[in-house]
Amino acid sequence: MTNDRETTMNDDHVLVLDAVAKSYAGVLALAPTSFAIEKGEFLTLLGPSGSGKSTLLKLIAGFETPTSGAILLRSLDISGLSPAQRQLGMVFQSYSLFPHLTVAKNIEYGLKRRKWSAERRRARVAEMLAIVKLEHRANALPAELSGGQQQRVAVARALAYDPDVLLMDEPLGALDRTLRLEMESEIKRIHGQLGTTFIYVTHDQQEAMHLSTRIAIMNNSQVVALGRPDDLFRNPPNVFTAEFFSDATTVAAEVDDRTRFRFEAGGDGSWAAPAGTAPGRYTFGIRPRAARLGIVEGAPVLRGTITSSMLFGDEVRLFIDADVVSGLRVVIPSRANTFAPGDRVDVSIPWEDAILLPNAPVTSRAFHAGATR
Amino acid sequence: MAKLLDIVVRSLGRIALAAIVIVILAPVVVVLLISFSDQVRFAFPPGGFGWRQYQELFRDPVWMESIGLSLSLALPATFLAVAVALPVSLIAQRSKLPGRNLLQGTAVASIIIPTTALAVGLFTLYSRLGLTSTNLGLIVAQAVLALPIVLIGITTGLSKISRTPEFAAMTMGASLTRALLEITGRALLPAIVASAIMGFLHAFDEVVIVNFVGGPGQVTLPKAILDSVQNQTDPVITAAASLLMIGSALLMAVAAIVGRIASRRRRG
Repeated sequence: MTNDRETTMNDDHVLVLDAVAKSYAGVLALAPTSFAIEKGEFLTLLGPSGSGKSTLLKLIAGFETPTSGAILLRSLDISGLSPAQRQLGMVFQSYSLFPHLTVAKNIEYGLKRRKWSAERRRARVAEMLAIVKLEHRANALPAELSGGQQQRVAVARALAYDPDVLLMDEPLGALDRTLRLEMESEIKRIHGQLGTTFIYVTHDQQEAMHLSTRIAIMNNSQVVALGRPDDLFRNPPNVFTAEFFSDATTVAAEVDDRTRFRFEAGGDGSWAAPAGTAPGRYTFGIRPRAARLGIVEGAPVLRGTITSSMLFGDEVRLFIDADVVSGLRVVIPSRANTFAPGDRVDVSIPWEDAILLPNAPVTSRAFHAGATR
Repeated sequence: MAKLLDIVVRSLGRIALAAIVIVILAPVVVVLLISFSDQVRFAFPPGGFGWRQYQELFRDPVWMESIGLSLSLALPATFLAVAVALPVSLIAQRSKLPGRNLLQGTAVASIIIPTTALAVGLFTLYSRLGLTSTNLGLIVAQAVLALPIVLIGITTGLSKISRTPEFAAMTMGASLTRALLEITGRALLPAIVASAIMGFLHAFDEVVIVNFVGGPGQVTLPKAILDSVQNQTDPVITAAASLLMIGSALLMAVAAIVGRIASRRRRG
């Protein structure tokens, strides 16, 4: 039904979302979303719960049908196809292995559905077991494996038939912290080794940063930012991304006609804004590691009182109630921490590390990387 | 004071527990003991030990036929109950079909309706349909009785099974039907077996409805025992009752073991 829609395609695009939207009984679950994913990418859908990331993943997987728009997999509109017809792999948060089948039989399942010969299946299962380093557990039942091992089987099982895209729905959510970090490296290694396109859903920005080649940040049922993790982190395009992804504290600010910058809530000073900054109202974002204690020449300064501190090994996180904003977080090296709660401090934010977002009326940026209507 | 009260309450609890166990187990023990007596009349304490009751039971074709009839009614009734319970529990748990709760409620209604009332109703209905005195009529009636037990067992089992393995199978290329049968169905199998056993025992044990809608030739084992008590006092029935109890206990044990295997799997 959407075949007559004009779609310009780049050959490298494995998956294209063309204005895909979903609503349940009139309630919007996903606003029209368009972007394209290149072969071999590791794209993460990152957002708080209820932001629409799971809905988007379900639409791609085929467990939900879009209310409008199209999903193209290798130029083929798959919007109306069942999950089984989509040539995708999927890993769920709950390991979801088949409890009555051994590790090897679990991995073999998708190959059997695709009617691979017994010989090919045996070879491929051995290969996948080697990739996830579980050769020695081939004949174990899922209940005999640890959580991390089970999730590795789930990954091997979903990748065995060489799907076009591997979808992962918070795959590390059920694991404890140490195991999560270990599995992150495993997933990254497997992605590098196989070159399969991964689409990964998580609410954990650290996880997203560690793994992704690109991140789509979602909030209120729409993609609010899409880009490389380092770009998004240093130059968030909007307040939500600055707060949620860059972990920034935001302060209302303004720039006057003489490009003097000042905080709206007063404060005594004004500073020269970077050259070319247009006059207007802005949101100023302060990342915990962008702030310096003390005065830095030319940088905006906040004065505040340290309320508490938290040790993270080599680093200390100070919580500061500043004159223009409370709950400011500043991370400094532990060895430099000569401060105590109650101390008055100056917090400077050098312009090259600061986030300055114009308070334009909120328009959702279009992400037409390849797909245009 | 409070401590004394505590002790009194606790002792009373223990006495009550002991009383309940005795009240339930005493008749069982008495019946078992008499079944191994050599007397031709009821007597307790039983006189000498002997196999007389069991020899009589297996020699008398009436008893053997009643056991055969009971099995030939209760087994198909169980299959029928399972065949109805599976789709009903799937619909009740997974669909958004309007009236699905009513459907489930109707299916378990026979557990609430007094059996005698149900029997009268069935008799009236069967008279019109010409189903009185037929094996089919009894099979359907027993299935109605077994259905609540089977349905509750299967529904409970289904509610404990996560759907994500089924979803995973679908992403790996299995159709909805195939994923349902191969993955969820396989996981549900222990619950199906266990609840079928319970349903079978319930159907096998039924005696009120067979008295209403059964014909003169349709003497099931429970009915034969009842008839025997009403007409004479032959201690053979203690052997029949003992076998019934032992058989039931064994089947219950099987159901329990099957259930335990299933929950061990699920822990993974």
